[in-house]
Amino acid sequence: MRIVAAALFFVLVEWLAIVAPNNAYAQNLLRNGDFSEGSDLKPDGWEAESWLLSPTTTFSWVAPQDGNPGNLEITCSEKDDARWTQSLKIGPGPGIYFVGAEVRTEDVNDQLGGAFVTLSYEGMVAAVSSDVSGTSGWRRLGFLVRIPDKTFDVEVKLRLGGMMNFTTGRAFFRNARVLLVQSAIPRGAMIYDLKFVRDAWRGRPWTVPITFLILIMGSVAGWRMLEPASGKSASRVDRASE
Amino acid sequence: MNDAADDRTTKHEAPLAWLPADTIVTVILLVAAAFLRLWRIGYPAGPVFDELAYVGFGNNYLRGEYFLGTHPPLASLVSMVGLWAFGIHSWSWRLGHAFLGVVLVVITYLLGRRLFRNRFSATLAATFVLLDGLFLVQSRLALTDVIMVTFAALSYLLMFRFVQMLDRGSSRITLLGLGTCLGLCLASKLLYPGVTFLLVLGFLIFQLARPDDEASGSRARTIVGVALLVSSSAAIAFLATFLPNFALGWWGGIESLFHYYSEVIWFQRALLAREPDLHASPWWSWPFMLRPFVYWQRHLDGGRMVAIWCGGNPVLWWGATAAMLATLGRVLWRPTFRDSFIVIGYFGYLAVSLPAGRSLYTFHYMSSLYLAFLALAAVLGECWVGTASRWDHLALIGATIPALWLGLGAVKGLICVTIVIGAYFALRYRETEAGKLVTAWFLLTAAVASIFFFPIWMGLTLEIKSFDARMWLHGSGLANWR
Repeated sequence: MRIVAAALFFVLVEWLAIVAPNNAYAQNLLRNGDFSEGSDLKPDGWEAESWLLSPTTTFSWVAPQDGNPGNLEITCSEKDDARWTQSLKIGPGPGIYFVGAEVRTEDVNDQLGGAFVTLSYEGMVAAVSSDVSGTSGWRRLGFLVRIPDKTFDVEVKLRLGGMMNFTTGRAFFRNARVLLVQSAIPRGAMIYDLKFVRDAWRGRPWTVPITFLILIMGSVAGWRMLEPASGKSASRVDRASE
Repeated sequence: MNDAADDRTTKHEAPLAWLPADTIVTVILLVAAAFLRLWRIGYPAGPVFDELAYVGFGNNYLRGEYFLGTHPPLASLVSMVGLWAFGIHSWSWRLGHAFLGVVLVVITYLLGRRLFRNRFSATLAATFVLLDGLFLVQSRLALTDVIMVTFAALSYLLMFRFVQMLDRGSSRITLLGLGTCLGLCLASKLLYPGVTFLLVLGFLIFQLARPDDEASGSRARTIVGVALLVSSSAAIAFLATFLPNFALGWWGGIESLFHYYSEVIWFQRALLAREPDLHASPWWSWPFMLRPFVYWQRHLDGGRMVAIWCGGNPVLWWGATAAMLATLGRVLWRPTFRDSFIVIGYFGYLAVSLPAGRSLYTFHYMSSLYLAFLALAAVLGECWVGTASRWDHLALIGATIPALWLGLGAVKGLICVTIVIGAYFALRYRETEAGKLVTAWFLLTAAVASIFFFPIWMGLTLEIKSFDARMWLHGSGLANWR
């Protein structure tokens, strides 16, 4: 019995050792992160966006074939900030999530922006991966992000070029993932915190009308201080014309 | 006009009466400006230079997508209105800027009438703005500078209108308009409009503080009232341009405005870390037009090309620099309100570039250049009526020599210079005729230069060798026009 128990324990430990690294991350929160599904040449769950709607920027989806995973492609023949985007809910917090994808590039202008992954919250870019430019093979890009509380509505963007970093070239993306990190985070690892992004632009809404009110009062005060004294302006006209 | 008399009487001087000639000149300027700013405005169909950013920002407003603009939002809002009204076309995102470019020409004429009390100089100033390449190119693209300069010019006009007004009741409306224009100017670009605000408010207060028939207690009240009305209305207009950010839920409260500026300063500092841009140029090189550059170009079949060149008319620029130095000399010797305003404004806009640190470009000279064109128009007007000094004459003739040399070559250029200098010295004892000769000569060379450079301002098709012939400076260092 002890032998059986010991054997079972050994098997369990081995299973955890094998499975835990993969299960350190839970289920992919992205829909169709492997780009296996789609129709009409469009991947399900992903939207193409670009800074300017220009025919010089093209988007395409390549379905999985011959054992190769599906991938998304962006081509910018003129400078642009183009991306494949998916909106999703991330959380509930507190928790740390991994956001990333595999990226390959062809002739991406290395003097300008490259291909990379971002996470946006309330329209703001909250977290950015490193970027790939020039011509490169598949590379994994990603970052960790802390969700402070509740569930956040965010957007994951697989992009070629960024705001004020417009670029040209071609980028491919595959295996996009958003995963809850269940293992210990290495000490010193950089983690983006959505709390700071959320709070940075947050303010007290009443301050806006109050500011306008104060400024209007200033204008009115100035206006009244310049009230013409009766008969004065006429006398100045007379004097000037003499 | 006697400058000392001008200085004493600016405050109570009645403006020129509006004559049919003014209407005719205004209409001609308006039609010419509309043609030059709107003709083929949709070409090229894609974004040119920084349009990529500003038009994108305008588009973001329409899509409700947050962005961090590197300049206050007015230029993007102007593009947004065009995109909203007419859809996504290059002409629609440029339309608002072109409209302001047209308005700027007319404002310059009206400002010139008030500054110079001379229709000839006013017409010259407006014509320089109409035909100079930098003003033309910036008006035809959705960039920030033409908006800033237009609202700055409107502020100057309203300030001089106020200073020359006698009826304080209606002057309050002028001040309200002045404050609004200053606020919109501040909302168009970082840094430079700050000079406009300080320049206009400073001169306004200076003029009001000068002793006149008003008691000192009443004068202090007037100064405080003017400062309050102008500053508050400017702040309202400035803040109003950020209202979409609040309405779209991107910004929570007024604190967001301060956070925005901290982010923008961080961004501008990050630009310092970038490698120097080959198109960048130091502020001192701008008056000499050493480093204009090509905003956009395409090579076509058959050895042809099209280009949009962010450069000015070299004759006008070099003449404006000469006129500015002449005006500086006059200010140091015998300052007047008008000349001091032009000189302090000109050098103020240049001085604000000093601490910038980041890469700067020739187009950052636009607000200084505008004042230099006013100085040039004043000096040419004085040449024409025979009140300019011999130094002014020689400075203006001298400003055409490099253009003749570079444009015609050493031999032909030398022949032209010899002829004009010979004619000038033949008339040296006849001041009025000599001045008229200088004015005519300068305007002739400037007009020829404008025609010569016109194709590369407007993006017209040229032989590559014709384009090369226009790149007068093409060294490996700073003096390079490519």
